[in-house]
Amino acid sequence: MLCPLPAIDEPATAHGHGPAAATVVPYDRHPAMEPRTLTSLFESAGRGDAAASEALFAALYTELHRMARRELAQRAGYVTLGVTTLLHEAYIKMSDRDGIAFPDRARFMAYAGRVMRSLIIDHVRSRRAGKRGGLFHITALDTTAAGQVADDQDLQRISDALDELAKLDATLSEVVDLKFFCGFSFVEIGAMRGVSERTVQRQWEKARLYLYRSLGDTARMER
Amino acid sequence: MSTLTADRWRALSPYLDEALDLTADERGPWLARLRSDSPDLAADLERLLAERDLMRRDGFLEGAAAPRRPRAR
Repeated sequence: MLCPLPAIDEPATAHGHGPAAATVVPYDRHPAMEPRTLTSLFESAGRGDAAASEALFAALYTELHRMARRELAQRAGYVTLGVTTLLHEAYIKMSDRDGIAFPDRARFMAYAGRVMRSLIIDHVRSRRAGKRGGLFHITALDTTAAGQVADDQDLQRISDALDELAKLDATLSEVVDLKFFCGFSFVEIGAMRGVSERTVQRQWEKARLYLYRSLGDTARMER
Repeated sequence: MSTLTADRWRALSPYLDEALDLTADERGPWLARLRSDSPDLAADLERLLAERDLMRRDGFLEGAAAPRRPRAR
């Protein structure tokens, strides 16, 4: 039996979905996963194991949000968890993956954000192809963002443009990964990076403009 | 607007930062000053800002592709 999380933070009524539509199976509670480590999840996901991909997604997602919550709480003065502790935890979570090092939180975030993006795209693609049902649901994509991101080809174009943007300005592409693909707020991203909310908003606006133009260019070339 | 090269984007980037921090009322005089110094730069920025208006009108990438977050455990 699967073990979906029992509840979510935000009310789901705005999108017409009940809480049951928004389940994420934590990697450490997935029946097929135990006692798998992130290393084996990466390996299995790399071989096309869909369950491992979803477990990996859930692991990264949970870890990213745990980091965001702690960083925000630290800023508010509720706890005194140091950045070093945060980094250490992130490092332990990820460093058993051979050949990939995360010397700082920013690189962990960037890496995890990119992994999340590719997992989401793979998930949407496979779900739309009708190959299998998802263990988690990407709700916003099917509702509010659907008008703009019509299909997985658009998502792939956005992803390709993000890779181009990363060569120009990695910070901008990472903001898109964290905001659009991981669902963080400007405040959370700012807290994680030690910059103001306003700075993140400006970066998001620039990144979005770059992608908008890139997708427009692609459309013009295909005409 | 034609495709921006990487070099052009890099050149425009700091000006775009500045422009995005201005109010709509401040932007006109700011662009006018830039136009007298660097007409090409100002023209590109004006086009970028016009595209930004279209992007916002289209609601491009508003919302998120991410799932709802799990509750803190």
